[in-house]
Amino acid sequence: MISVTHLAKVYSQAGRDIHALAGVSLEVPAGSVHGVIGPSGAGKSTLVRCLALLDRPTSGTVEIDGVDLASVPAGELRKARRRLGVVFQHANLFDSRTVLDNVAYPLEIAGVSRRERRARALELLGLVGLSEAAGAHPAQLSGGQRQRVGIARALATDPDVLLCDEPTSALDPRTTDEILDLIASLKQRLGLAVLVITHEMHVVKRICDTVSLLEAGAIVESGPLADVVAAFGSRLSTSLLALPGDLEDGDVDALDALGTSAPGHGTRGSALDAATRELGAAPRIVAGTVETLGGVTFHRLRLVAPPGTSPARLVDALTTHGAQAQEVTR
Amino acid sequence: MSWIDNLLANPAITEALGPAALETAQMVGIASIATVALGLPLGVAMVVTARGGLAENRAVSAVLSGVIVNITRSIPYAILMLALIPVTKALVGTSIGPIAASVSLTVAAVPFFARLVETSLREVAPGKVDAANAMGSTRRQIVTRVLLPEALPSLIAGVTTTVVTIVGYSAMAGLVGGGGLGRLAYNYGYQRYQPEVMIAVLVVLVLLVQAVQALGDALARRADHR
Repeated sequence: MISVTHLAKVYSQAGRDIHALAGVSLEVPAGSVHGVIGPSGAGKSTLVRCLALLDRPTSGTVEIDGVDLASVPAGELRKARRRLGVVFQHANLFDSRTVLDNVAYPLEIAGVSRRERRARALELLGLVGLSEAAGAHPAQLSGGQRQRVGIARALATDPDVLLCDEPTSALDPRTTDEILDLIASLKQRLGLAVLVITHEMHVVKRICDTVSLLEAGAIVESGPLADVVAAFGSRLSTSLLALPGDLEDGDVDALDALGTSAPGHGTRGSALDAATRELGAAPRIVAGTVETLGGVTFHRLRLVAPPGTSPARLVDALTTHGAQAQEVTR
Repeated sequence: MSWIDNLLANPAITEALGPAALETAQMVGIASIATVALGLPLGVAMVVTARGGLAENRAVSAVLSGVIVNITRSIPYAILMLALIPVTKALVGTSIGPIAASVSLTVAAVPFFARLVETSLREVAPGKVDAANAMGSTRRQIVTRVLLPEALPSLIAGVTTTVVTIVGYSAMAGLVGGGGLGRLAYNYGYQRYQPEVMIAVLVVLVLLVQAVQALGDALARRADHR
């Protein structure tokens, strides 16, 4: 488990203080994935560098199973780091080493015997599905394979926490899903606390149990995935359930609605059905998205009230039947 | 075929060319080994102490890079080798011969090579150093197990360039008592006006440089896994 409290980083640039991180707190229990999402410039890179202790935070703590990495002296920090594996966007493998020797590197510097580290590295390569590539050099691998090696290397010292910095941002969509599924399965099998820093909503949707929105160095929204999405109108809810396409300009009477249903049922049996029966006519759906997130199927719809009713009546009907709705203000 | 007869009849070629080539090889060899032995640590020290380096130290960095390397590099070799004669005498007991010549060759080549080492190490992606740090490497481990191996192909290319440069300087060193091909070309080819000696020396030098370059390229390719 990793627990971060009031993490702050102040840079001084051209005589001015820049608050890159203004007191970030979060907690990731073992066996779960927490996503920190944010636009560029929000402080994601600084957060990663502070969490990985590549930069010393100005204040705050980064505790892994009760040991605060931010306050251990430099000499002990090297040892303490073994409890934290870091996966980088571009894998950052060593080109001069074979895949096996890359994975064995953390053990090599920890003084593990050659035979032992070879066995452990092979075992890790098996875990990420790359046993046959042990003797290859990183340049011979695809981006996805390199990231698998990066993950295996991060796990070499048997860490409790895996910190992933934009792990799939350099990968194509299919490889992205393979890597994300690998991270999710490793979390399960090894009981890891995984912290993923990303700008991709897709990453959050696919593997995160909990999520935080980072903005201007601070966490502005945070919680379990389903709760965050259910917070109608919140930034994360709107981004995670983004509506496709441009909306027609003429629909000034449109309203936004957020409903839920049991997974696998689409919008069947939802507040929309009930509201349609109540009004005697179906609202027109301008745009909509249906997604199952955190075990709940959410539908976010942009609706126009049927003729003879009013947007206000439709909002009422929807809210009475358990959905959340409000008129769109432009 | 009188020029071939000239060639084979000239003792400057039949008897002196071989030993002169060996002398050149000797001074280039000694100077190259000494240059790598001294220049590699100097280049590493320059990178490590530089701003944002593994062991940032402004004072040391200023002395290494600003004073030692830049001053030495700004002195033309022809002047440096003359200025170093007293030092050479103190070091090897004489200022004559290939071993004495390797002293000034080394002094001239070390800063040159150190700059190449510096450039090579700086080209190693910073992300690799981050990764090494995140895994708990010591600074020494980062230098010996990450920076140097990752920069190896580029370092080998730097050694090749340096050796070729030393071959060039060695001809100049020959003029002031260093011996070797430089002296042979000067004494016979220039002063006694025997063009066939000049040509023979040129051919040997070109072959020597080609051989060094080919060997260097082959080694760099073998070390390169990118």
